[in-house]
Amino acid sequence: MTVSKSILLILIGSALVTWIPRVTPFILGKMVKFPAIVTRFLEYLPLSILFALLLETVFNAKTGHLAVPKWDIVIALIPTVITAVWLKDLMKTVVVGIVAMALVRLVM
Amino acid sequence: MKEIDTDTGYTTFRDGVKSCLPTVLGYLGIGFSFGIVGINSHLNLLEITLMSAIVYGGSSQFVMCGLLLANTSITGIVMTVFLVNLRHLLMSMTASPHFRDESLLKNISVGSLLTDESFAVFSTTVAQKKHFSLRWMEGLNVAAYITWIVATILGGLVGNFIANPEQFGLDFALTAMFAGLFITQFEWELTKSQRKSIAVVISVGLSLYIMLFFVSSSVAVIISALVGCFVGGIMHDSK
Repeated sequence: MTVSKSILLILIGSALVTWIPRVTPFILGKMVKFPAIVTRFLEYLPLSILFALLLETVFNAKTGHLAVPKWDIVIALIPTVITAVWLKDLMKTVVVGIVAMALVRLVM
Repeated sequence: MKEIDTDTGYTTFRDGVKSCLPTVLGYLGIGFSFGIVGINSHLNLLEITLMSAIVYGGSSQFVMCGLLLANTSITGIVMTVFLVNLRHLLMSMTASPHFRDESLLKNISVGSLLTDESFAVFSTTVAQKKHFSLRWMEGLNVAAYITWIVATILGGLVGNFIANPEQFGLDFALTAMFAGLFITQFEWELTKSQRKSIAVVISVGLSLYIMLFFVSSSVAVIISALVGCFVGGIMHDSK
């Protein structure tokens, strides 16, 4: 088993462009203190980005067209969200989600 | 961040591994699906393992498989991965101030392994006003990283027998995990300010839907997250 040369190039390039944005703030943060205003706005990042990531998985998007919900995901999300709110247990939420999705795909 | 000042459960490396446990199942589901998709995209076990080890970005790895199948150029793939993973910049900017007092090398190691999920667990910890140690963060990050690689290998091993992980609902592990992580964070923010958290969520939802018309979904995520930060930031002083 070997890694082909073009795949290796793709992997190294992709690793670099992923790694640099990940670590740069940690390196800069050692040298300068971010302005208070930046920190204040970023306080809302966790909530914002998690909701954006969640919604992104729900939509079938194509630039130039209105995004359409993926209905199988929307349906499977209902028991998933109920479990998350009710049991407050991430592991159970994921299990319920996967089972719900398998059932939805079996029927649809 | 001295060890004495940290809260129980957020001190040792082991505590970090424990904090990672709720997300482990999600990582396993997604990593396993990725392994299967990778093999079915004509990559071998070594290549997919290497990808999980050095790129380490869930959704971007699925995107890479799709682009490889479509014979996209090397530059095209690398540019796309850059955009898909650019959101880490925002997460690192948010997390890094908490590690200012640690050495540069430790900062780089925490940043290198930051994921959507470890960032979410970290943020909930911050929202709960828990004091945590660097060792805790490392435990959280390393446990996630190892799980991801192991799950990739397992998926890769069965990839020749299963063509379509979707029929088992495994791809939904990603959505389910984001749903669970979001709700945990949302409940904490609601206790702090109901009006603000609801305004942030609505503005993210609307802007994401609008942006999906104009830009790729990875860019739409970044822009709508920034809109959410902006709305939260300007409402900051008005309770």
